[in-house]
Amino acid sequence: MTMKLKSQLIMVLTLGFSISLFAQNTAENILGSDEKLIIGGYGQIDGNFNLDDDNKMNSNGKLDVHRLVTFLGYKFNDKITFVSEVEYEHIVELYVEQAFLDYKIKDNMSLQAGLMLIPMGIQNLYHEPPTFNGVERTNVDKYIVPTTWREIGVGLSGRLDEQSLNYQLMVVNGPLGYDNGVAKFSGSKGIRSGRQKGAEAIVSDFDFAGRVSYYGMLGWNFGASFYQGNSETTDFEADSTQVGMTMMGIDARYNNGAFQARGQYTFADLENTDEYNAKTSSDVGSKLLGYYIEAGYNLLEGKSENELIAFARYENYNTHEETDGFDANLAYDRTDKTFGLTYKLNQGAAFKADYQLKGNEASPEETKHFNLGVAVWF
Amino acid sequence: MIRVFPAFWLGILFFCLLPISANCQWQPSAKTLAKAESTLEQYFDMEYSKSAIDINSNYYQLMSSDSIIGFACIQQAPSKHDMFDFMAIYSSEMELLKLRVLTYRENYGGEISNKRWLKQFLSREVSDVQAISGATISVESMKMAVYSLTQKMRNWQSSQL
Repeated sequence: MTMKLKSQLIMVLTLGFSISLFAQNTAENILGSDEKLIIGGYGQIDGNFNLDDDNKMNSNGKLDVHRLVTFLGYKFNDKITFVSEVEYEHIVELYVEQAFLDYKIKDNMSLQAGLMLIPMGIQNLYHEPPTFNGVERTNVDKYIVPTTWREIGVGLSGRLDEQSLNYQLMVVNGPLGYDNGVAKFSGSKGIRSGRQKGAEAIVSDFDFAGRVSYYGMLGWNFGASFYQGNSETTDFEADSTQVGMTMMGIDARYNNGAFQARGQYTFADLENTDEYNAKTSSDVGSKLLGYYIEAGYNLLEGKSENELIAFARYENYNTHEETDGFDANLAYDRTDKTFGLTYKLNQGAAFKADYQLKGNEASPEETKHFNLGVAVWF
Repeated sequence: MIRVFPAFWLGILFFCLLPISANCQWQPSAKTLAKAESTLEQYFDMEYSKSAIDINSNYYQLMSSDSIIGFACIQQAPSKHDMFDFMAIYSSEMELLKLRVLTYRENYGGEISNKRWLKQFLSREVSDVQAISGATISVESMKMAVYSLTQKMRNWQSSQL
């Protein structure tokens, strides 16, 4: 089997099976003021196929249960709830996505402690497969945010009803930048490989994360997120193995009848990357930047309970937006253009198809990909 | 990486998907009732008395000076992982006059408490009420709850004639 990736058009058929079966009656039967145990979940199954110029399969394809998440919650009483999400990735990798205790201080304010989602960007918080267009999550969220980002900490989460504001503030451990000589941060993936996910996480410094979202304007949902702190290191004394992180993001979602749109702009300023790169022989950028804009239209609006959304999205993400002390690698300045369809059944199940053109500043040609997906949420 | 058989988890899921019938009438909490009272007082701004109707002890007929001024129903509906309490105020002709979220418990989906969003129910068909990004489940839940509640009340009213 030869791999001719450069000269061939790569058609990747990603068969994402996102079947979200939102069983309303089931939820009503399980939940209730007296029922304490809460069950839910979501799944994403992909199929990837490589095609040659004649659009024939010329090498092995891949079918993957990309993720299967089970939600398990328990209401001890009116004030205390335990929330957990356990995720199976690729069948054999088991992760915990969330596991925290929620204590209601007031009707609209909770204290939370445990493994929580970092409130950066739209998809890190809202990533159930039928809620977004496109088979895979955006690469802006994958490489810049980096989703699914979750760490252990303590936080406050609440709502100001009169002002139509949601807010969240937390103290968490940061991503691990340095693991006994091995650099976890890199030029191509930014801080993504440093996510500790609550697995015997190293903490040398405590970081802060927060988000505010405003839903007072009908049809709109605006959000602003921040993250501030230092990355963690196994070498507690060595400052050179740590990177200062200041991240900010703004996002907006809009829907009006058949029309929907969303956009996000996220950047991360990393300090001390010159010392870090010198120490670890890595090539981390000093600034990461990513943004996307997406618009969609429900072709079945008013004609059916189901939705058929035609959408287009433009993404740009650059993990070498700025570099300190060396030239940026132009290949890390990446652009994805996605055009596709999402067919939603009953708000819980969705079939997806999309066509992607991926390019970067170092190469004049764009690679072509075709993805199919199935999304489930219940 | 851990190799784990998902059978155990699937077993729990399967078990919990068996319908559990809940026949007991839900009783709203004191907090919810207090909020309902103050909302009613603010809306009607007159002396009124309320008496529960036969189909549900949380649905009330409101009277003032021997005439029916309207109806008020307190109801629960599911949000993503919890329940929320709301009240619908109907006119004597069973037209929706006001919709209020009395108690919203969860962290996600609280956007449905927004008064401007709730106002849509007064002037539009339930199916035309706009979605809210990030509150999909609660929005759908509220839409279904309001629709079935209104149907129920109208059927009850027809049966009284």
